[in-house]
Amino acid sequence: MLAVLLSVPFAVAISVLLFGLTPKAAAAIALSGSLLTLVLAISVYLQYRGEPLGQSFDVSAPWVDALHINFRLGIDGMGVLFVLLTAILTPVAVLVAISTVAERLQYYLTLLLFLEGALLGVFTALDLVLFYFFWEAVLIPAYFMIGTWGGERRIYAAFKYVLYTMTGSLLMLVGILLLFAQSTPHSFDLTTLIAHPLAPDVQKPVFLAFALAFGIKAALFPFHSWVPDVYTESNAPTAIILSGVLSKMGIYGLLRIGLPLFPDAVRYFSPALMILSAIGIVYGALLCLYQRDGKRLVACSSIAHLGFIMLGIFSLSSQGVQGATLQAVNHGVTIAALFAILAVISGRWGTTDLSKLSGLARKAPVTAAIFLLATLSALGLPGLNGFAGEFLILIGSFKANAADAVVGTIGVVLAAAYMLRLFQGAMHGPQGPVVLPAGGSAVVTAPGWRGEMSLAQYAAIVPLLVLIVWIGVAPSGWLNPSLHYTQALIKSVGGIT
Amino acid sequence: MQSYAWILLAAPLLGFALNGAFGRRLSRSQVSAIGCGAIGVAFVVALLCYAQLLGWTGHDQATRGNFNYYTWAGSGALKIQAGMLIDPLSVTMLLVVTGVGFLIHVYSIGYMHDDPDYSRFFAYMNLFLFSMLMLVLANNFLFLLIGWGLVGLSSYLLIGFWYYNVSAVLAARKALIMNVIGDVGIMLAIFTMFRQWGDISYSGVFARAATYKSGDHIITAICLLLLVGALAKSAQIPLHTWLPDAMEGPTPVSALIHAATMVTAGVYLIARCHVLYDLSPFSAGLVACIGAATAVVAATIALVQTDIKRVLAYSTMSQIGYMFLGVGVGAYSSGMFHLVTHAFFKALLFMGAGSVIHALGGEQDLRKMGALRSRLPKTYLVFTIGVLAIAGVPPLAGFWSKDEILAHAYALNDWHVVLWAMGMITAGMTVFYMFRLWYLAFHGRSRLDKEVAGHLHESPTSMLVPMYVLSVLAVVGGFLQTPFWGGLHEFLRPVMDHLPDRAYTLLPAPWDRDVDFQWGAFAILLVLIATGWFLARDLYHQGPRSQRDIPAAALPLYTFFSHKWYFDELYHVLFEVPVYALATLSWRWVDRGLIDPIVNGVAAGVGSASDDLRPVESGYVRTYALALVVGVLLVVGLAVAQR
Repeated sequence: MLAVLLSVPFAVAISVLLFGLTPKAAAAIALSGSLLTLVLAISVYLQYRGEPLGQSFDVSAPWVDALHINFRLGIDGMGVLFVLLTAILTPVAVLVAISTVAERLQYYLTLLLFLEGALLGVFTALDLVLFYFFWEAVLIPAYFMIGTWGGERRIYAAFKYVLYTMTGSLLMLVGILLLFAQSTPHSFDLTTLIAHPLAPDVQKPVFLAFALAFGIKAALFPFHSWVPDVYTESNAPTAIILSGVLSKMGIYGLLRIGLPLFPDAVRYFSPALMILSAIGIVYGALLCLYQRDGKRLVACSSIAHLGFIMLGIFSLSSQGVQGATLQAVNHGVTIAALFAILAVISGRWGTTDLSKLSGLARKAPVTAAIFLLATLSALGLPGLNGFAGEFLILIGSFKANAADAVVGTIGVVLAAAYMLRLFQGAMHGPQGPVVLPAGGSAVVTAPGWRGEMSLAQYAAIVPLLVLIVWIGVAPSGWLNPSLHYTQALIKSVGGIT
Repeated sequence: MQSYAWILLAAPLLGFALNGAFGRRLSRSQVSAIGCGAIGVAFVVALLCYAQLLGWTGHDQATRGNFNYYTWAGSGALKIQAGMLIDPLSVTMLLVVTGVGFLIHVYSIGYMHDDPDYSRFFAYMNLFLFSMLMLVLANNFLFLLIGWGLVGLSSYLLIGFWYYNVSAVLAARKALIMNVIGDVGIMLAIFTMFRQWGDISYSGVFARAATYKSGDHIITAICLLLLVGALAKSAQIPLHTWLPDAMEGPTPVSALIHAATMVTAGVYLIARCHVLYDLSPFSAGLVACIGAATAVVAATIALVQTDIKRVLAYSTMSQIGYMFLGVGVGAYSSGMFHLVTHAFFKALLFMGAGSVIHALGGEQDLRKMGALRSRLPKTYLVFTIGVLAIAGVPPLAGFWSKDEILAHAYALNDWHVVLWAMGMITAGMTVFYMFRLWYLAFHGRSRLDKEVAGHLHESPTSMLVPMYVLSVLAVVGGFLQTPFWGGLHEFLRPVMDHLPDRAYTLLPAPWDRDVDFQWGAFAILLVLIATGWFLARDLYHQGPRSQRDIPAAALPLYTFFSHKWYFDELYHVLFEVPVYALATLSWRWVDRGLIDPIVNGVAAGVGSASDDLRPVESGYVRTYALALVVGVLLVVGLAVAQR
């Protein structure tokens, strides 16, 4: 099942490349392929019966026999959430791409689906070498997607992204080799390594190597400075996948490898990492307050939100870890919606510069309502998904270290300030002069003109809104899958229940 | 009860969904029917709850209406249920919220009739009712917080209803941010409860708290954190500055949210958590002090306002100050009593003001009114009743409830007598500024713009009837509870007493403190009313005074009051400026000035070193990509074949 799930995106990517000769054909193949992947992901989720890692959907084949490297895939309740997130956001990105990518759509979609396959590999690999392989494989399509379809400074952004992540992955490679050398028995196999952790003092350097790789990917302060440039320069679907899923690779890595493999090192470093996460929350929020461009603002908000997720993880508390897992999904859903809406705005009005936008709600009331819901989710309004995650993270963190959690709550207040600035700045106020896309001026000034979304854009965003409300009203359904994993983890690191 | 209580939430939510989704395609009468009908249904269900509650014994009343519907979330030691608590305290709130809410919905039919966004208005109003009922019905602190946050949202939406006005947009944002600060206070209180007791349900928290000694630090910490939430929601000093600006919203919103219901949630919260505040004399004292201070400060500002709605807004702050004073001195039933009577007469006053504004085509400046008595006789009548009620003229509603709070403050008999004096001074000022408003709007000579005067018209029936109902309540509402008959007090007793085995003893036990009717205070109050009325008449029955009439000695004070004690300016300097400076510092200096150059420096170093290799490298990346694809496919194929 997992092998099928994994191969479908690659197969679709190749089909798009071979048969997607017109944009329409490419779009149709990519969309149906990504929806098929979604169906498969959902059926994996439904068939999963709560077994621990390595006992469910286990796919294993020797890869490099001499080094005991196996092609081993597996899944548990924590991992399935990340698989679902990937499978949900890829069709969303495809839909957004259809309405925003004007040139070489065929190649873009090929890369996008290739990326999905690699991401699913990251989230299901049970062998560290395989994990590393997929981890690196993600970088290739991401590099081209940023560098080819991005904004003016796309080359700079793509280079920055690759440089940052490569630094991290090199460290991770060193970590993997160290781990292999130090472990008894020598192994790359995750379940074996979890069962036989390293000696406590050896854990520390190896953990740091991994933590840095994951921290860079998840924009842990002070390794976040790639985020504003990369997300802003990327086009909308790329930004959706980068912020929605690729940043979660770091989160997933911490949960899957960083914590279970190095329980002693984690206990030692977690207070410091909690402080860094808390700083990231407030610092990211401050960056947001400065921004005048809507897209850059949302990019910076990612730093703050990922800060929350890592705060929860490093709190080593049951609520914090489960809340963080939930918030990983939430953040993906919400930021995808925000980037998609900004794409609508820049498509209709030609800019996301808040100093040039004003009063759009008059021309696009439905879009405004949708934007509002996504905004409220991002600022953690009680009753929506973002709140459920933040609340659990903070309540767990408060138990672990009250001061860090209190600093985190400052981020909650600032989030209200910057998210409202974004929403109101664009949507409310008097109807201002608009910067128009080329040739659009006559249309936009016509009285009957509406700035609402296209059908494809609705199709991309509405499912995300459903998730925003659903997870907010009844988070338990999205929380329970990670229950067993968290219980075992908290026990092994001696965390707080 | 569990089988039907959910309708209380479902009805307004359905109304919101229908009007929100399809309102544009529905006719105005359909929109009004859905909007008002939803709240009407909720009111009927609230009555049912009340009736069922009356059939139970005292102990059952406090505990039996506590039930859960589903598990919201569980993790480790934390388990949060979605449930409801229907006891005398929440039923009191339910009846006020749905009853007054229904009347204001009906009133809105007339008031909002010409607004192009009619259906959006009713959708938001129903959303507010849903949120407020959630807040009231919660049986644990998490759902209280959800309701707390959602009323903040609805308030935000309705303040900014006319979103094309910049002032409305800014007022809405300010209100939401202030309220998020309050939410964070409650959040931290919840975290503390969970850390301490592993439980955040009302019953669990109160039962555990009751085992603590009076003055315990944990209890005090929780009380103070909850108080932050209460202050923000109820616009008490120092988190009050959003309420006057909130008057940017349509007037029915001011009546419903910013007078009768939402802003009194802080009082409800403290009454609900009376077990905690009983155990923390410091926090309770602070509540009383803040209440008294807000009462005085807001009244002084109300003295000099020229906008009819802003006078009422400051008056609301001031009156909620009384309620805080009441619950702060342990007179929970008196605080709740004033909450109820205030809901009647303040909603009435706002509706009356709305009626005036409606008649004058949007004019809110008292200086441009005058002599409306003859032109709007019906509005004049009901407004007069409202003024008399808030002024505390016996035997109208405001008299009984205000008097009771002051009597309780006095009876505590130590430094609280200062608070009592502050309450008395406020009572005097209240009479003055309300009659000032009354004279300026309805008496003297007409100062209307010509165009406005031509269109002057009395409000339609849909606006008048709710006002009539509320005038009756403003007259007789005080008899819910008098010094001679403890109606509400006895009704609430099961909630306040429902921990019979509580380990703590309080001296004096605030709940059963015997407070006699104080004839001396009554006499002072009558003198204050007469003086205030006389002064207002003397100064304003001819029309507004110009600034030149103010004696030089009083001018600094006048300036101070009319600048609202400079709170906005202070907060601007204290919070806004530093935060934005910090934001600029973070972006320009730290991020782009320090962190990024380091990264780029490394990149440039690597880049120049590999300049010659670049063509080879990029070719290599592509080959690598192809190799990767082929490799993956091979391996996946192999794995599939092996299964």
